[in-house]
Amino acid sequence: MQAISESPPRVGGDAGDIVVRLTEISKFFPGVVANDRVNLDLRRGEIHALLGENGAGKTTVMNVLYGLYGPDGGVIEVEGHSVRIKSPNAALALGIGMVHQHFMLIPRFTIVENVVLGHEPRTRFGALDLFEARRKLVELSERFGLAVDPDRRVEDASVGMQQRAEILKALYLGAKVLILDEPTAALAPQEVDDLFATIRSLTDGGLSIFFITHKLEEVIEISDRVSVIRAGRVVETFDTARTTKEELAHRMVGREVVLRVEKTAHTVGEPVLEVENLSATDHRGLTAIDGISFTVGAGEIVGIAGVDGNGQRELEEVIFGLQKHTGGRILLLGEDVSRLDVRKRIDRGIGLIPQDRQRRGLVLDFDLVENVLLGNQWRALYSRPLGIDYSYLREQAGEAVEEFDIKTPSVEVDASTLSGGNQQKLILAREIRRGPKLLLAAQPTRGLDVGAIEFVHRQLLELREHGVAILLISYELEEVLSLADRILVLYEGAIALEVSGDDAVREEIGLAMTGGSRRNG
Amino acid sequence: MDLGHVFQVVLDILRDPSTYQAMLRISTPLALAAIGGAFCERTGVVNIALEGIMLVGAFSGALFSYYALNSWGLSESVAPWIGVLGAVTMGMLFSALHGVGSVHLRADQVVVGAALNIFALGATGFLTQALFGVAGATPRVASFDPIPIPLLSKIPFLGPVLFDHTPIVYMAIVIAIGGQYVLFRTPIGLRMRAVGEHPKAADTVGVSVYRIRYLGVLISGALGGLAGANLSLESVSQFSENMTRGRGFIALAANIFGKWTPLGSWLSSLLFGFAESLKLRTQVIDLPPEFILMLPYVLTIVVLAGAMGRAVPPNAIGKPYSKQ
Amino acid sequence: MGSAVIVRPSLGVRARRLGFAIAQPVGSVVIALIIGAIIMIAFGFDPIKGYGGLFRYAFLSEFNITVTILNSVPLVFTGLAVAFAFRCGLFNIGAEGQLLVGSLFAGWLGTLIHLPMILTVPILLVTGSVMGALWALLPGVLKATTGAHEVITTMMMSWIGLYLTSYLVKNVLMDPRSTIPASNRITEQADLLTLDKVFPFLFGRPTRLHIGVFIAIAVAVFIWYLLTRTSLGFSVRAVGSNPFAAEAGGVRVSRSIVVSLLISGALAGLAGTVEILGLHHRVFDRFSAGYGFTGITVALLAKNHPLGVIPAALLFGALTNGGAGMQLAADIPIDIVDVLSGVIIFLVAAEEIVKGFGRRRAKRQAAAQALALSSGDEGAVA
Repeated sequence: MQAISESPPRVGGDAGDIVVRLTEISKFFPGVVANDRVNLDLRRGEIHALLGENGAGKTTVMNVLYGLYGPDGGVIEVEGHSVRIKSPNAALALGIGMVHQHFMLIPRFTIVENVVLGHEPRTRFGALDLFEARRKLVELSERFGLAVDPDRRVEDASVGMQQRAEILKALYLGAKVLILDEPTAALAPQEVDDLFATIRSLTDGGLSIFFITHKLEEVIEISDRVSVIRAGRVVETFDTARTTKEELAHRMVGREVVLRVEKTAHTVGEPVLEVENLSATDHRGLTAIDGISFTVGAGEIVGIAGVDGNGQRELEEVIFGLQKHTGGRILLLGEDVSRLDVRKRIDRGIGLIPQDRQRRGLVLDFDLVENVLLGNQWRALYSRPLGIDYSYLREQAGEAVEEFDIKTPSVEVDASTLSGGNQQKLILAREIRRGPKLLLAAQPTRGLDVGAIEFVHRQLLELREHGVAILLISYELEEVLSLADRILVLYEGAIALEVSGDDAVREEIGLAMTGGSRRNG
Repeated sequence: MDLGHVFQVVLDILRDPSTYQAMLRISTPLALAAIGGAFCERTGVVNIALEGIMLVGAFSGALFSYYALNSWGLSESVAPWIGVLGAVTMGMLFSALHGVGSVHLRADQVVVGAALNIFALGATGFLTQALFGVAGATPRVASFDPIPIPLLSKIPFLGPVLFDHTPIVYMAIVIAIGGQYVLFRTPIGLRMRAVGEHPKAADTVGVSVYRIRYLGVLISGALGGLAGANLSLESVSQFSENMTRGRGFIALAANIFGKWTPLGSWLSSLLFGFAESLKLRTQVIDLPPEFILMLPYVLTIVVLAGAMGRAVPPNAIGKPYSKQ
Repeated sequence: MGSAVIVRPSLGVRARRLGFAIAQPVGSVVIALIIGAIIMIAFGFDPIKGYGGLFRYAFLSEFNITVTILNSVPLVFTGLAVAFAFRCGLFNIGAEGQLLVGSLFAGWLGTLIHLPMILTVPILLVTGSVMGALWALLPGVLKATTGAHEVITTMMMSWIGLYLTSYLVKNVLMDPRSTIPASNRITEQADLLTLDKVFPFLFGRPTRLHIGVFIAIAVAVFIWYLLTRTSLGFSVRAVGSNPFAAEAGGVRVSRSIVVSLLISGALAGLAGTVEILGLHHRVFDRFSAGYGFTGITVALLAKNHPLGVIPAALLFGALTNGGAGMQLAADIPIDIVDVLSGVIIFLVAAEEIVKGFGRRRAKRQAAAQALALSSGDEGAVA
């Protein structure tokens, strides 16, 4: 923490001109210390990155600054005055705006309605003045080069436009300090470049920015200073120019990180999954998957790369039978399974690590034992003529806990009491112990810390060694690049590019993720 | 009964302006409760307590009207207005309990609603007996008479249908149109809808989710109370135990069929009003009375089944909101 | 950690959990009674006399205990009906209609057939359950296919059932010699045995208690087993807790919804059938004293646990019986029982009141933990 006072002034930020200062901020949740006496400051016009693993407490401290959580200790100063920020309204009044990782936009409202919500212009008769609202929005949008269509419904807007709408929302509310929480998470590489240009133009316009991320490259590229946060504390604050990726990485996880997974070369067996001309629609009935074909062989990891919302969710659900397809076929070991229900597909050997693990993967108020049972409840293994053999099941659950190193005091606690990483391990244990022939792994490491990520990756590679076919769907390009034998890029429901894992070219994939030369807009 | 005769009966009913007058009159309590339901559910709070709120309103309406006339010495024409005031106030107080349970204590909104319905049934029955000494029903109270609107009520056909009603019927029409305007054209309406769709998003721009949800709940209390008053201060002029007879649930269905909008709620209530108006015609329709009494309930199921899938409920409906 | 990880929680821990689980319902009842007393005082009634009367009429004397138990028998069934559906995430508030329809058809058949008792009783019980289940079928199917809320549809079916049974009793089943709307006497072969006949050594003289008491307990145990020990019960509970995960776990969600409501309706139908075969031996118009609705309170008070339904039903059996005692002893309107019910459900539902304390404690612990760790530099938390 001593680095804060020692760092000299630099371009874009005058050390003497502190806009926001957080001193000794602490925040507790039941059973968890999210922030432990965090010290941070933000200089006028600078981009200050907060770097840390998932769950390190970066977002929590910013939520405190934004008034979403009351701090359990510490002082916040804005423009030199000590303040108490009790609500987002109070934060906004102080000129602090926040763009959340999961956009806080109302899908069924238009962009202009979203932007003015809570601070609506009124006509003389007290009605909503959408005309004035639109005018203000267009003005802001032109000043900062953030192009949006005010009357488009958010659910019909691209992710990029939604993000611009979020930033405009903060600007409309008069933000001078902007908190960006993992703003690149949902963007393709080329969109990230656009975003960074926007961010620079914002600081040129006098804004100061907290930039939350867990990606080292982004820190190096965009930030002026960086504070590394680990386990709820600020480990150290650096001038970005004076540090290296390696040093940051070391500080972030507290040990050396292996940045690349070791993968042995081996031959791919017979095709396990064959997808032929598969089509499906999204929940609104629009085409989500547009006649795609591919195969996954035994002992092969096929990675689906792409930006969120290009058909990944539907692909996962359709192959597992959670959603009906509208055309084409799905073959498992030569058998057409596309009309079978979930139960039969599980019986045929498909396993699922769902993208949305708390919603699809677990019954959170069931204990570990019954979560291990989920998807096995009809199988002779547990189901006896007079009911389920719970004592045998309990033994099995115990084995699963040991084998997958799930941290829990007992198998008879609710799954909700497990940490995110342990919940994911529980799902892995259940799906892998069933002995699948095909494993659908959708976003298997989202939100996990480095240790858990490594664990999941090792498990997937081990399955590959044992001849399991794996379809890996991930929005993390790095993950796909390091694990997959073959990579398919999904763009607007179609396969935009297919490359083998060895000749994977990052730029090419990045381009394909945005539809070649086309830009999302 | 031959087909020709049936046809003739149906035609007679459809041609008779009193059919439509009855439809409008009978639909009014449903419409008011349904509009209340629309406001409440638009903010994300399921309100199956409408039944109980109406019951409280019906009882309070009779109670206040009774005291206004018999104890406070007010005239026969003022007393029902005191009843209305009492019904609205008590409806709001009662629905505030729904707010406490569903919003503050984050309990299962449907269960809290059920609790309030049972509570209302017991409390109104208890009070009827405790205050009036007889079980089952209150004495007769001063009630509203139709107020024909000068000139307009003289228009053939439309006059009696639209312009010869008790005041609450007129109020319902104004409330339906005004409610539609408030919900879709004003800042507060935008906030209410936002809270029902995505409370966290509203919270992050400084809209108080709790306050807005309480507002929605209280509006449903006021309108549900008014709806109840309409039951006891209209033709029957008394409160009798469980006199709502499931109307709160029918109103909820009307609100859904009306796609959670005030105007839609009012319009779909007309449908139920029409069905219920047929019970006034048992002499003409040769059906056992039980089957005619069933009609609104059957219609509710049909309408609800038809409405689902077509109408999209507010996204956050039924989900308690917690900041952390 | 190995073996330490997999052990079951100790007996002490489990006992404490059970204690916590029971404390809230019991506390809710106590608070409700206190609120009831305040209401009585406010309206000039004497709560001591009132509750005294309640207690006397509910429990003192063999006759009163008999009535209390007889009152609770149908409540066990309707409580189970509501609880079972609730475990699948469905709120069946129309048990009253399922009860009326089920028992009407069972009773009707009972006036027509002439078979030995060993056949008659099972046939009529099955008829009652099947018809009760049928009355819940439409809400189930509508919920599964269109998502129409079962709270509205079961309630509407309940009203339709009320009018339908009323019509049938008055126009089709009515005994021409009877002055009130009631059917002919159901065959005596259908009468549920009274306990003095089954256990002559326990009962010196005739009692109105019938084997329905044991049927109720047996069914409660069966439902408990079904819910917690079978794959059907597991599926039902999974759908109730998280239908999306259940679906991904191979559970056919729509089917579970329909099946749950069918079982729920069957239990409600059984409630009325046992009541008729055990006590009335005729079908009356509106013979149910709101058992279907009280079943809601019973189930929620039992926190939807099938075995918890038994004591909850007994409590409400006592309250409805004792409620009449309150009226007699202190002139307190019997509607006060519904007031108490409402308060009880509200308090049981508002778990947050209890959880709130737990949360504050956890937070204090976290703070203490943070302080303890503050000396260590690398201490990772949670």
